[in-house]
Amino acid sequence: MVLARVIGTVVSTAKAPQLEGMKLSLVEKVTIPALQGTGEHVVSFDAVGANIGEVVFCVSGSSARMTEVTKGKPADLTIIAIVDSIDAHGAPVYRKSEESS
Amino acid sequence: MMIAHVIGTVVASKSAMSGPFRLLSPYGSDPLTSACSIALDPVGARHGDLVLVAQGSSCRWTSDTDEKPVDALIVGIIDLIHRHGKEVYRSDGSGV
Repeated sequence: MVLARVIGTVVSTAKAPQLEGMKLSLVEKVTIPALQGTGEHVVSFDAVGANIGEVVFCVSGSSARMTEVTKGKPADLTIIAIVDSIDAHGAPVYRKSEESS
Repeated sequence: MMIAHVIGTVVASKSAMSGPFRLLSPYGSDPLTSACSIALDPVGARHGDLVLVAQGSSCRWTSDTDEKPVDALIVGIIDLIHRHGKEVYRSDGSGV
């Protein structure tokens, strides 16, 4: 899985019929410990209802289809979790409750 | 399989998959500039451990992960690595 921040949404009208009604989120992969964007922007399905600004992690490949939301869909990237906290090298590097959005 | 250092822990209460989840730094990569990877940890790895990580659909070939949305799985904690007949890594069993 890869750590990322939700930075927007993507709308598409002409699309595969299986994608009707599916939410597409724009996410940017982030580094540790600064949670800085790497500049790599990708579009992800969302199994948990993440909002803009939230830190999440995404599952890729065929595993992206293993959620209720994406089962049987042409998905290769899905947000499966909204991060509450991260500890790295023994110190807290992220607390969702302390972040102003 | 990938070799990686465990550098931390991620907690996520709203999740399609229950943890624990560890932060990984792939062996030889720079965590300050590369995207951070996360793996499910059913074996109880600790900060500082060098671990074996299965990636892709192969992660779902365990009873805990069958049909689950997981693409990186810690499958072992490394005790010893020999390369060209020489010991290059030995765990002292304490993590860091």
